[in-house]
Amino acid sequence: MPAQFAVALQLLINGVAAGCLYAMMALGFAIIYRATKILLISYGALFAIGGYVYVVASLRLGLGIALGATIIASTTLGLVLFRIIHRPLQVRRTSSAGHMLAALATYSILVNLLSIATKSRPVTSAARALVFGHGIVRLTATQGTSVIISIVAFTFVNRFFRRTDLWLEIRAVHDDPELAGASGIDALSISNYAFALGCALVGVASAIFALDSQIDPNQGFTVVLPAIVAVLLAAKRDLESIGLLAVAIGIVSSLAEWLNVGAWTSALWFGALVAILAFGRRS
Amino acid sequence: MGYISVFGVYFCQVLLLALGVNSLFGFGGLLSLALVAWQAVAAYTYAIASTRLGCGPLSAACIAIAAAVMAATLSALVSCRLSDDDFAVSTLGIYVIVSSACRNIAFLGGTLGISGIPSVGGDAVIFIVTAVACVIWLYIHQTPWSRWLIAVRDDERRVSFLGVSDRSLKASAIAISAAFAGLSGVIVASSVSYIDPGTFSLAVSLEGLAVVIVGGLGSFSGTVAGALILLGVPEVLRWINVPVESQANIRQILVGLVLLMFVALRPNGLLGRFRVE
Repeated sequence: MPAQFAVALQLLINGVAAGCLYAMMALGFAIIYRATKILLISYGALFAIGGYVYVVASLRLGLGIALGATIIASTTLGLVLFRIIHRPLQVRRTSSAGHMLAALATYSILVNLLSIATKSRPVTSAARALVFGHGIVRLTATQGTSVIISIVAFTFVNRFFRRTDLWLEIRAVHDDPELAGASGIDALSISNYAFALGCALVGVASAIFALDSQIDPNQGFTVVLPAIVAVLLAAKRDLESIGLLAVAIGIVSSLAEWLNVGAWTSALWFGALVAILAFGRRS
Repeated sequence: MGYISVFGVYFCQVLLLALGVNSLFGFGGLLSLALVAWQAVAAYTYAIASTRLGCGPLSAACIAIAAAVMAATLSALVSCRLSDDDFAVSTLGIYVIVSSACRNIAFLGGTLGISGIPSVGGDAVIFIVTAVACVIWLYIHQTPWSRWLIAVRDDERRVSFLGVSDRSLKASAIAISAAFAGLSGVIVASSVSYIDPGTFSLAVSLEGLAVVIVGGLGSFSGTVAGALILLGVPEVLRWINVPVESQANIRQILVGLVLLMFVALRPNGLLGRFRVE
């Protein structure tokens, strides 16, 4: 295999694995955003907390049970944040700017609490590094796990939405909460479900990330950025489009490493997002 | 430098940034996370002009503020087309772009930053310049322009029906707020003589927003009071038994908690003309 091709293939594999992680983050972020119109920046803090919970739990309980514990912890924390912070603001009809400020403040509080609790030490679960493949192209066990779990989670969420009409109700609440309420849709329940599902997904994503990557308290912000870009670029399209966009972001970001512009990927994505928001959203 | 003097200079940095936030968010209703980016643009420009281009502190400061205003005006070509969430996200994007540039461009010192930055001229100069900037801010916000900006905040579509360009108003508000943020950035660079990308984090933006929300949107005296409270309360940590390595974290937790409490329980702030809606 020519060396150049092998490197490109390896970067593609890395990109798909990273993209699957972004897709899960984007899916969770999108569910919350569509249901509540809240740009939940504190989602990044939930990711970091989930990662630490997973690492601590995996050392004592094993990887599988630790995944369950992480999902439960993320979901509980997300619901607590919604009920204590965002729900009262919704009742007072606070604007999206007010919610975003509250989410930013929550992010700062949680990340700094986590920094104090962990003394800002990065950790990893140090799962056994199984590697498949030979030569230059390799697929680690965690990359494979990341892709499989993402596909399973995506399929599960999609089926769940189709069977329960929850996605339709979320869209109805997003488009016109009053009309949705008049049609008998309980917006509070929808928001609760959305937060629970969105935060469960961030728990899964953080556990997968912590399997073989170091996690530190500020890690969440860098991971939530591609998710925000994917959700806003997809505009009002369906969840599959958001997932595909997130995977595309992962692949292009990985290939950017090849071109020595890897450090600029966040800036490039946001540049594209800003340009599309300003000039090309309708297209 | 004495304790009071150091506190005073820090107060000036935060107050000027908060005045920029107040112009944009308080009067225009535009939530911007990019002010810290304009602060960074000015600080880096001041550092480069004074250490590598041989400019004197005063001319370097003028060039730095002009650079911040020009960069903000350029960004306004894009962001003033947006409102609400999209505007806020676009300013987050601008922050990410400027932050990436500071980290990755070798000329700007990369992650090592720039050291040996000369002072702009002592603490007295900083206090006088801040006082002059406050007078200018008060004057600007008594002009008809400011009332049009409030109209944009209330209903931008109605403003355009009246034949006034809401985009021009937004762009001018962005430029004016960048001038105050830029002046704040010059003071940051000049007072600590060393800057790196970490100096201009989102936490700084959050602090500026918190000052304005605690003091109240659209109020000068509120902004001053908010800055005194938010800078004064964490100073208590110095006198109680808090580990030094945790002080910065606790300070940011306090800022976050205060911001959260005011958004949730007192959206008018202490002396605000408008509320966080």
